[in-house]
Amino acid sequence: MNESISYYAGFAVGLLVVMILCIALKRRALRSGKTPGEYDERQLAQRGIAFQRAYVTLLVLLLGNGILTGVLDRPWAQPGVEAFLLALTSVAVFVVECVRRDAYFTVAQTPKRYLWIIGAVVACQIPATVLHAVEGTFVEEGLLTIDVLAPAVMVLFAIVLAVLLVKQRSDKAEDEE
Amino acid sequence: MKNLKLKAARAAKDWSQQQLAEAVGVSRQTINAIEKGDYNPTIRLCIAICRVLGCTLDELFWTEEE
Repeated sequence: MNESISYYAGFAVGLLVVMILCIALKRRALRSGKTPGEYDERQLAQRGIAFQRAYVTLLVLLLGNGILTGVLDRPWAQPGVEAFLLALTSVAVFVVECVRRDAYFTVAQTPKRYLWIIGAVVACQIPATVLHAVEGTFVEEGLLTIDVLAPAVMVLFAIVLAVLLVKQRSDKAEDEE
Repeated sequence: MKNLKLKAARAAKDWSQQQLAEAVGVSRQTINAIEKGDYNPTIRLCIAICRVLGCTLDELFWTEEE
């Protein structure tokens, strides 16, 4: 019970910190007159394609999961965790596709600042990942537990960070041409 | 098909892709994609580009059939 309360308290504190950070960044942007702006027409079209790919990915994953758990009766994760991991995978597809297509940041946004934020998210997940790995709580009775969420989020953001860095390098090379 | 006319008009003004992009309110990659022929801009963007470069639509975007 205590563990459950501390888990939700931690979740609430995390959420509060993110909200405060978002409000502070927004206020700072408004004061400096620099708003995130909008996507241009090519970016909107590219985001549409990225969205389609993520949607198809989610459908395929749901179908696969349905066959695995419903037909073959081989569950692989606790119900909530299962849904989160499938959604996370399709979000990863969307973000990576957007980055590849230069449609992740708006015209006015600078990727450099976001690299630091994404890097910080990856770093924040490391302690929880290591802790759960040491405790060995990732799998219980053959099912992935809620403790895999930290490494899953870490992997997602690490992938986004890696794709952003590669994209930045290729953009820089393009600029120098 | 590459849009060499646009590239030439931009170069004639001694503008970078970034400068042209900022002038018309799009990303640099969008200008790059138009020049490389990877993206067909809408008429609205074509007109905006023509206005800032001081050219007509014909001069920048019309292509003769091969």
